[in-house]
Amino acid sequence: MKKKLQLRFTAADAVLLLILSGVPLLLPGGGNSTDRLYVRIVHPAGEYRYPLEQNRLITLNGSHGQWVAVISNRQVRVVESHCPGGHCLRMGPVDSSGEAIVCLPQRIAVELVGAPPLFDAIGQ
Amino acid sequence: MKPSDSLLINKKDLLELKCADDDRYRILERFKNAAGEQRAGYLVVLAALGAALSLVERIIPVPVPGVKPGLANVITLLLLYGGFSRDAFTVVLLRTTAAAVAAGSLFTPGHLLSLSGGVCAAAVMWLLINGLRGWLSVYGVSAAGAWAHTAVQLLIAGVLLIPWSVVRPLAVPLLLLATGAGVLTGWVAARFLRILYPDRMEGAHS
Repeated sequence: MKKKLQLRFTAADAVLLLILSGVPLLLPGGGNSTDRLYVRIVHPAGEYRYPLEQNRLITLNGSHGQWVAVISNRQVRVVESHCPGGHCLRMGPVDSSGEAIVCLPQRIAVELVGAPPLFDAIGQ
Repeated sequence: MKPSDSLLINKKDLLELKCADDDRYRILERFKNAAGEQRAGYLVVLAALGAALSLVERIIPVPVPGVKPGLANVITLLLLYGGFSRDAFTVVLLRTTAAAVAAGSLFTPGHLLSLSGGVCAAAVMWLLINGLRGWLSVYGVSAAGAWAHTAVQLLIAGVLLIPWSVVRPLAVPLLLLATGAGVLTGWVAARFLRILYPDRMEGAHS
């Protein structure tokens, strides 16, 4: 049997084109999540992870007393520390992947890390 | 057998294709009835034509490397619409291999990508032509094929070759471009189909 040959653009074509253009947007790791960053805080008592998108006040006790960091506007900065040098305070805000604020006297480190990549293990 | 008999899509036939109705059928009939070496000759010519198109497209300057209109897909479409599905796949295999040999990328990741992309595009278009007959036009079928071609390449690249986090941001623009390129090659294919199969058209005016 001979197949019909449709040479005119049809409504089904339009629907298909819409679907084809829409599907890529639904792929895993879409939207912002590829550049989503986490604030990783390493502290003698343990390790914490917070998303950089959510504003937050983090209060910890370091070796030299209270230590406070603030996450706001996709930036993280140390706002209070009673360490001798105060380098962590003067470091100012950090906002991109790989940046870190380290407070040696307090033994606290803040680091910005990306989301774990989906296929990293296979990709390497 | 003279070479001109076995490998014939000669200049005269190509010229006649434009005007004479009888000869349109003659070309198709010859292709249908060709067997053995003669058929292989036709397929080799089609594959070589596809490979040449792929290579020429690479020369066209585009902002992103690796983006090309995919006109070789027109040949796959013409064969699929003619019901020569096996030949379509054979030509895809021959074409990608020939293009890889000519580009010096035989058995490299690039070859793997174009091979898997071509096979997948042919498979998707075969399904759409035979499963959804009459619903989709050449434009939709071609766009879906081009889309599948790119999607499979992205998937294989992301899983086997480079990290997914690198591939992912490219997916949306590349798939959109592929869809547009598919509509373009669909238009080219429609012009050929109109000439090759004038008795099978539906809703198309002259």
